[in-house]
Amino acid sequence: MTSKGYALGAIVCALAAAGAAAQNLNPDISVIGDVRAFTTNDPEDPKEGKLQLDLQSVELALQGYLNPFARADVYIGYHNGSLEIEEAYATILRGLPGGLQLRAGKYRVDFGKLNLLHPHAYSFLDTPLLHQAYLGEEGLSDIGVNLNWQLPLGKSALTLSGNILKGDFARPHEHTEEHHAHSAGQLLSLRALDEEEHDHHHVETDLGYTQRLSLFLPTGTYAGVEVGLNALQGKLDTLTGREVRLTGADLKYRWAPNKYRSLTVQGEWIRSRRDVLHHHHHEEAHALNEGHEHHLERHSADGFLAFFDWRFAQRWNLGAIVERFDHPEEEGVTRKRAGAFAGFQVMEESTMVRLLLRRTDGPGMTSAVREAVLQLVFSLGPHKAHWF
Amino acid sequence: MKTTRGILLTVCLLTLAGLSLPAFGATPIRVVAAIPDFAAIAEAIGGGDVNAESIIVGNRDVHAVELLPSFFMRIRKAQVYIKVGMDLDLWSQQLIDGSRNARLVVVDVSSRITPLEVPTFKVDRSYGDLHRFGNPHYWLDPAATRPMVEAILAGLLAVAPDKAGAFRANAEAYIAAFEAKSARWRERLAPHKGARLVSFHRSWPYFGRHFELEFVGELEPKPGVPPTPTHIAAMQELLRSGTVAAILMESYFDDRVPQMLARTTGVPLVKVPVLVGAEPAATTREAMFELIVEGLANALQRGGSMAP
Repeated sequence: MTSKGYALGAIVCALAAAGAAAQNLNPDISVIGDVRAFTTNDPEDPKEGKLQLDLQSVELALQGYLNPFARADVYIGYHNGSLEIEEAYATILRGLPGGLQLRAGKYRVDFGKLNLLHPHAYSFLDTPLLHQAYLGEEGLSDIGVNLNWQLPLGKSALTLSGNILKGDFARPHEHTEEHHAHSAGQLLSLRALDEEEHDHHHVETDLGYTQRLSLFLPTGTYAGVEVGLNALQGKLDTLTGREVRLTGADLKYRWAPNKYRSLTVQGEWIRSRRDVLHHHHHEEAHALNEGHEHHLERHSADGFLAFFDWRFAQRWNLGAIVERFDHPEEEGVTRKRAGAFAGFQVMEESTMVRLLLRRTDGPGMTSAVREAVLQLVFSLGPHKAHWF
Repeated sequence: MKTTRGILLTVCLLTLAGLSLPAFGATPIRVVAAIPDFAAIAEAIGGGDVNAESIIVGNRDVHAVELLPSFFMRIRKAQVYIKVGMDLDLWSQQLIDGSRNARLVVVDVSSRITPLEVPTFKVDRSYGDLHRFGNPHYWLDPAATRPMVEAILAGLLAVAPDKAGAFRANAEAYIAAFEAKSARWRERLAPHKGARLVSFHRSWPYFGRHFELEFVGELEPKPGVPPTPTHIAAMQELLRSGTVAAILMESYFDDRVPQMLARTTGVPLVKVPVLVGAEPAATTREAMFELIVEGLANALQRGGSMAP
């Protein structure tokens, strides 16, 4: 474990000690760990064909009320050697006119339903490639302000949400060499391309905006369908003026005929339009800094994902996921991924074992990349109910 | 960017138009309860002046609920929310938060209950889903009817103080009718006082205390943990010892293990509803207790009480 990993441990211990002193006023504390054993035939992986072990992530969550009207949530994550604040936000839950909710801080943005979940909650283990390519390596998360309004229509709910974001979502993500090796199966060179063009510390972004309109329709007491429309507008960097616009649609259906069985079917489509600099070399990048003319071309691409997750017994579930998308900046580059997964709760929901088998195809790959991943997810602390 | 501004403007206009404001002041009083038993009590107190519904409907487990937007909408329009408390329905607080209803009166019925089985040690997951504030299945205690009714009455009076006279009269009438039936149930189970029982989940300490029945084990090795092979073997041995009169199980659990144990040991299995509406015949609290008491009394008559 790195020194950052020890730092996370020290934070947990300090909080536990503080908890003994003033338990009633402390926030709820929970810790979720994600341990993996995996193997891949990816030729770009130096350990191709070998069994590998990894502590994929450890997440510390601190949650509690600030006052009768507001609460705060903080998630600190250790992922592949780096420690970061994944989310830290305050939400005014009630008391605003008309049932508005207001959120400010760093948070996962409601662009689609899936992006709101942390990856350890995915039955298919990892952030979908579609999201990595179009929303960011770990999904769409940024510092911002969210205003959210819900209109009751009988038992249905119409929700309208808008975000003003700092623009960090457009920044190339910082990650370690180790992560590059482990994520070789992700295959998408978009962020690496960005890093060649500009050192990520020098990328200047601007405010971004997103909107979501969703309608939930109950189809039974414990079943329902939600459809959503999403949009995002932002700047990839102010230096070149490159812009990005995303539009999307999503659908989720859930049916739970009894306590032990449920079916979730979910899909999402995203269309990307982003400005691309053509024939862009390092010399030209220096020229850009000196204010020379440059050529932008708007590139359109789209992709989708769909999955089903069938809980067929008290502690067992299985499902499959498919996704297909065009590279958001390169013409004619399409990736496809398909996976099958199964999960088992060891005693209770606090300990999950999941198995994933998946295959990734696309141009530039000599053969399909196949992976087998066995995951153990454990959670300490209060277990809260799942959101639809 | 124009779109965002447009949306924000729309939100503000619709808000000002007051389209989403709950219809406070209108009759009947809208009540949402975590469990149908509390909804039934609220309607009994309110007569035609209360319209109550519950989050748990039918044969569902009260320990786990998924947070559907339709639940938020119901609570959004409600004036009173009635929760079980004692950390059983932790999802209630998430539903209340999601409803955005700032004027909601929240009634925690457990605040009027003297809890049993409050742990005197630090509770953690090694004990399963053990509740730190005590066993929360108090609604299965006929003797808890009065404190439950008083808690719900207080919540209703907080939003409709002008109905105090009628509501108090209804509440007393409900308690009197229930206590009369409760006395009959005690007589029905009196011959089996001290009978030793095994249950599926640890739902019955209040019920056991009231009817003087002894619960000597659970099929769950720890609360919320499904039966394991080792524990099933131990239970099988206990049931074969001839000291257990019946297996009493909550109808929302999977009955395959209890059925197998009943078959292999000869100890009768009694599967009963523990929530109003969990079975078609359990239309009211009284009907639910009738089913529990009759089912248990019949099984104990057949098999003998097997008191130690």
